[in-house]
Amino acid sequence: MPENMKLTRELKEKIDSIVAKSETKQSALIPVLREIQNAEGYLTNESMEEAAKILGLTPANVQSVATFYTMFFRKEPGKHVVWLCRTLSCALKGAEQAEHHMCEKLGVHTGGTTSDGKITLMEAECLASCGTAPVMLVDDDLVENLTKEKIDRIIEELRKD
Amino acid sequence: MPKLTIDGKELEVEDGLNLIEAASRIGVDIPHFCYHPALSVVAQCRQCLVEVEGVPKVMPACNTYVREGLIVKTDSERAVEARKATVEFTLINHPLDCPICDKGGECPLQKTTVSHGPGYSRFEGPEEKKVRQKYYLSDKIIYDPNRCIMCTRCVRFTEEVTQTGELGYEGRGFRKKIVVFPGKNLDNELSGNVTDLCPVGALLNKDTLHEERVWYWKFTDTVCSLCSNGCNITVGVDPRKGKVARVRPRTNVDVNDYWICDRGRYEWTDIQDADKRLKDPIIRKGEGYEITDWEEAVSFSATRLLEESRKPLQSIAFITSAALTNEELYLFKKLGQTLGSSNIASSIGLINDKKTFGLLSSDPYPNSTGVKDLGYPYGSNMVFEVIESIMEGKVKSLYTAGIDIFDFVKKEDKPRLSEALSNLSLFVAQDVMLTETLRLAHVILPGASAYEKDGTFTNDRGRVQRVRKAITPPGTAKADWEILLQIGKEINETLFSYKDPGDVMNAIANEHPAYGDISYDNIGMLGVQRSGPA
Repeated sequence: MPENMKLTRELKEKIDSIVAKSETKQSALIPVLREIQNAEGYLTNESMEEAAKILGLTPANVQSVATFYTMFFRKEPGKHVVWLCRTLSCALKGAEQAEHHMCEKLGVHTGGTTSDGKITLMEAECLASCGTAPVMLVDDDLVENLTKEKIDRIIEELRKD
Repeated sequence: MPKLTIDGKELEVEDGLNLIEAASRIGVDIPHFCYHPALSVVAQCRQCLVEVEGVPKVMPACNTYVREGLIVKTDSERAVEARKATVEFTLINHPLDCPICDKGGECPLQKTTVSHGPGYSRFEGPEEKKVRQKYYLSDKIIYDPNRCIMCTRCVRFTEEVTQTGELGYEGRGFRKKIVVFPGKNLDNELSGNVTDLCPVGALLNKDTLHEERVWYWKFTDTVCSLCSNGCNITVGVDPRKGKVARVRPRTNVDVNDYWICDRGRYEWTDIQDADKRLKDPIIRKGEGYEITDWEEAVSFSATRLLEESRKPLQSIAFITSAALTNEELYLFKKLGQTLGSSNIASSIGLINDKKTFGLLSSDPYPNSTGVKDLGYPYGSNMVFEVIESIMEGKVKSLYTAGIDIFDFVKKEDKPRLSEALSNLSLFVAQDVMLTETLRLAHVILPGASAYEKDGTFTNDRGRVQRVRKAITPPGTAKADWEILLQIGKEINETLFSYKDPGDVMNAIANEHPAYGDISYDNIGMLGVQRSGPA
């Protein structure tokens, strides 16, 4: 294989060790994409092509997987990512209003990133906290029993950061 | 050989068959979208649901295989209801735009909706269907995500059949689309087949987009003439326009499976370019040319050919190509022999087994094997030898059919060949388009393309297959066999007393043992193997 120019040596080594541990090359795809995203922040076309080359898959195949899973980013995400639950219990408890409120407050559509690059708003499937619906995930922290005031407060904090 | 019962009918089939294939043996048509015999089974469209006795749930017939004693019901209430529900579900996001959809009239989803659907939708009303932009997957194929039902046939085709993997998915669920990787195209040599595989109007051909309506077409089963593989095709002609609208593969597992290449599908269109075609016979008179009728052209050619053949020290050459049918090659050779020519040659492609995707041959001629079988002195040198003697002035008169002999000389030799051809005392040329060669002929006889005549080609594996006339040639142009036959009759009535190409094939069968058993009655739809080595 030609010397890999696009991925750093360190990342390449991590990928090789993942591939070595995997039963098939294809099964290494998701861990490899995660590793690339951790290092580069999101998945570019170039890095997906690199991953395809390393794993002996077609670029289209890698793209299919990368776009299927919502936690892979194809565009650079903001500094903070907010995952709002859109599944049944939260929907019944007003997740939709929460979403509208967030969109308005941030000035983005769901899936978008604020112009200052601070916050990306995403929707998530069930976050397993139906008892305290509606909920959202702010980076790695779960925020429960959302209200407009709570959302405003969190956004203020994230903006300051 | 397991025995099973489908809809009360007992049948015995070979092992490994799924229920869709098994049911088709007794004429039971189980609707399906994602299943295709040449692709892997994914059982995801759920349209082929049937009831299997002893199994609590309805089963997808594509992924249920025959077993001894299996009792299958495709027409029970549960099975029918299950399929109805699937149609309703599939249609939730499928636009009702059949009137403006190119697939309309031959759409499996449309047909299935009529024959297996509920006839109404509970989703009518204010509900909005998905609205996404169409985009091109290549310069030949457009994709409409709104119509796509995610059967994934096209993706599996690029993964499994061509193994080029250009197609993939983007997103999931409701938002899923078929895409090519950014900056790439669906550009393999078989790419056009995805438009046939698509069971809806999601993948369409750009060349006839919004131009054709399939229900006007008349279909002719014939054989592609663009290479020596001899793919079986069906040609759709709009009789109102008198033009070929679409060339499609016709399943023949011994030749081309379910596919044809993009060349066969898209790159034959110059024969329909009226400006390029020869439409009437032309005779050179003095310095100019004159359009004439067939009577004059034929009698002039025949009389002059006879005159030339009777000259002492005569030297008539006959050159043709492997683009002609067996019947035409036979008549051409016979004409040459009748006139005592010792220079009869035909160009021929290099036949080898290296084929792209198993069906694209590098030999551009459809009938190189036919040339060999019919006893033409072959070898790549033969045509060159004859041309060489023309350039040396040894040949006094010439008859060419379906060949531009300038293709066979080096650039620096072209003026020499031009001069030699101008000095011939007789030059009869027959072809479909005006070529450098034809410009120097005394008589130009307009022939017909392979879509415009009847006959047979022998493919590179020795399979004799029928070409059938799908459209009429432009103007008064005639099939090459007809021209040769008329000139032949003029020269010797009894030797050329054939009625039609079928008659000529009988003569070939009589003279060439390899074709001994072959007649138009037994060639059938899929062709027959002639005896002897391929």
